[in-house]
Amino acid sequence: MEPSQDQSTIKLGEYIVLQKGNFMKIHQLSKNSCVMLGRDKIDLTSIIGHKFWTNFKMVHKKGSKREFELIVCDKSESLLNLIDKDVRGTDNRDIWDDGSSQLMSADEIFKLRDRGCSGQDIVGQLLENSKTFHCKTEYSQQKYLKKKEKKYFEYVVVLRPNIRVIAQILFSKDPQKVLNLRSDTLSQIVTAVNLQPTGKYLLYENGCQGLVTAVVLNHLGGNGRLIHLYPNLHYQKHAVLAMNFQQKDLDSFISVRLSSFLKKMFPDSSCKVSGPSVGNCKLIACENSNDPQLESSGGLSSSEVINGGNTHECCERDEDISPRRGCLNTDDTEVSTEEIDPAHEPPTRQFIETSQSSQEQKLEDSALISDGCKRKSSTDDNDAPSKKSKWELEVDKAVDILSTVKADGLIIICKEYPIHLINRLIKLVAFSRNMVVYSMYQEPIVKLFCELKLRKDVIGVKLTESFLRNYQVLPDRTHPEINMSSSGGFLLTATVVSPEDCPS
Amino acid sequence: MSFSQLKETIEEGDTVILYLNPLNLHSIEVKPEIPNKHDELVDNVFQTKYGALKIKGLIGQKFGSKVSLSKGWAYVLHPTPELWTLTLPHRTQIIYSADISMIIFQLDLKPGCIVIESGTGSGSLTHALARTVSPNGTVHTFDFHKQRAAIAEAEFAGHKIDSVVKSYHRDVCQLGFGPDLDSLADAVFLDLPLPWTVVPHAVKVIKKSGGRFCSFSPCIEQVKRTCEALHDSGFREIQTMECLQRELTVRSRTVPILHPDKEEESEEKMTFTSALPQPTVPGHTGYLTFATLPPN
Ligand SMILES: C[S@@+](CC[C@H](N)C(=O)[O-])C[C@H]1O[C@@H](n2cnc3c(N)ncnc32)[C@H](O)[C@@H]1O
Repeated sequence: MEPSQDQSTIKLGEYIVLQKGNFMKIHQLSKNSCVMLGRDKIDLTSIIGHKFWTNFKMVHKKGSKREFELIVCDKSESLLNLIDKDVRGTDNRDIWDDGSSQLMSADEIFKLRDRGCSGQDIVGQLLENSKTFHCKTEYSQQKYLKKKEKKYFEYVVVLRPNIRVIAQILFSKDPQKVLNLRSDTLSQIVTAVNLQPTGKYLLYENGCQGLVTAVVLNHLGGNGRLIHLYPNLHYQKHAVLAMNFQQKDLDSFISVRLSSFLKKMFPDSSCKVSGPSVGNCKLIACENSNDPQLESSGGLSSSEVINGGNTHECCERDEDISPRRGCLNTDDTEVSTEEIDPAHEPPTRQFIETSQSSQEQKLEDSALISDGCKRKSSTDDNDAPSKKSKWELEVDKAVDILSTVKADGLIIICKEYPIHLINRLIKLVAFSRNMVVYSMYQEPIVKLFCELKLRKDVIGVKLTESFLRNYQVLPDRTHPEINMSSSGGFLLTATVVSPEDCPS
Repeated sequence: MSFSQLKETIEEGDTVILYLNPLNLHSIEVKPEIPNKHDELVDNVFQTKYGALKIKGLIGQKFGSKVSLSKGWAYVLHPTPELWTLTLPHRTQIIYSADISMIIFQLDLKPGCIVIESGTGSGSLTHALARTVSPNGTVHTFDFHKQRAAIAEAEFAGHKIDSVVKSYHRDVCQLGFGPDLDSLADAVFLDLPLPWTVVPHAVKVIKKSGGRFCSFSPCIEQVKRTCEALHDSGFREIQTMECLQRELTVRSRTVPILHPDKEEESEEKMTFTSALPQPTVPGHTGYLTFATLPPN
């Protein structure tokens, strides 16, 4: 890849990843940008223009205790060189923790910190005042220092966001906010749908901050097409923004509201999509008695006993637990909400435009409104206005694309029970192409499995879950990590085929 | 153009996947005629559990349509790297889709990337790598087994991914990847017995702007040595993991409702849908070790 644009330098207006010890945070770099890392406020002005992976040291700003600026430093010094190679114990028989092994009080430690002492100095003092450190084995000295390092570490590395890091940050921050979509499952979506860079994919995503949209755009690399459908009011795009996509990548991207798209794509069907009035629940209610396929699959319900009718409730409850929030909505989240200085916003990234400051992402298709023209209510869709607004043109484009040649794959990631949506969209998928549905819960996807099994136009319906275990690899101390993620969600995959019988 | 470009209709020379059921899949090259033992061209007929299939009849059919066999029917599917992994002729142990997915994701691969792989083995991973970096990227794949390298190369050509995949016959532990690839790669992937010996060579081929590394090893001893080598060579974010994918079998079940105070078995039943993994599932494939080489 010969990037025409320099991708190795930290630039104003772009998203960056800050890494401090094991902690990572996504942040958009604005003019006079500051970021909170834990309780520390860090001024990022100085990092602009440096290369990614540069090590920065946090130094106290004059006259302030918890405010830091960053200066370039050679290599992050590690506390591990404080290990006492000469004095150390062989085992822990002489260590008796009576709570008094540390002679310094917490207060004294805080004072050191507030006086602007470096982490190295603080830990040095801690060691001097520890009765037991020198009796510890080398391993536990190491362990102790690692722990202190976490607490007092004052080096920051700036990384360029990529899909791996973004997925990791979003998942570890709050798995619920990405529907428990763990990186292994996410990676399996890409292969299961046979994501060819030159292909044309149809995606409905609701509830994981644009993560899957970002993954698909990343893998298309500006070659194929992504037709991205989003529910009525919400277009979550945090992950998409954080990727710093170039215009070339975004050329593949057509983002349209589900209801507008369906209305245009299937004009003669009386599809009702729940509007904002339905409240929080975004369950899509397509009622269509003219559609034989819908009827046949709707009526068959061998597994009805499991979930019959409960999905709705499920959805609503879920909403309560994790209130829908715009991707840029942050109080305590890892996302910075600072407004971009318009002068520095890359002119190419048209679809980011409006919502930067809108905390409440009551998205008025903000993606598509760039020229200030307000979208009319969707009921006017068919009125054929003489001059079409931008979002209408997008819908036209999406419909055009799918009317000539069908999609090479369908991906559905959502909180809702998607059977009606699938019944619709499956008709837009070419034969011998795959569909993938993700659910964070097992029960609804098992029900979906049963419903799809009855269809004649899909084969190879498969339900999987995945398991991911990380390891600590250290000399003589290699073992699985103590904690692991217990669920990464469930994937249903299937291949769309011709429902016709073979010619004899 | 069967693997590299999605298409609708089957043509001569394509590879197609014959789907009888989820556990009975075959990959077939669409050659209407093949030589018999007297070297005469005869109709190519493929035998399945449900009878014979005349290959000639596939030409012009749509991918995803039903075709008749002499004693039943099957679907003909478009080939994908995943279906190829399930149907390919094994010349070595291969990597399966769950690990492949994670490898691609963790190596930060996307179109245009240059990735170096060794050993090529049966080419299971190579097909998925090729898809990811196509159309303008390259997979350089190395194997020190001459015949394997040659067969794999022929397969890549047959699958029309040879514009993306370059095969080499070479011992990478001894000789590295050669000077031509120095500082060119976005990522290096190793699946061979002594990966730690290749780590210094990996450093040489990774771009000056940095890149990713992955090694797949079945044994923990290999992992330890590899992690040490990575650490010594300046790699960061060294991470070892294991990933498995389990298929859930869905069944409808009915059980009687137990009434503790009644003698005879109750007529009352409860029905539910169960979703359980098979009683025995693969519990280990290999450890995946990933690392980043930062820019120098
Ligand atoms: C397990 S197979 C790789 C399978 C492959 N990943 C796949 O998915 O099909 C290992 C391969 O590495 C090759 N190999 C082992 N040592 C090698 C070396 N030093 N240089 C190059 N290839 C080597 C072997 O010939 C063998 O084909």
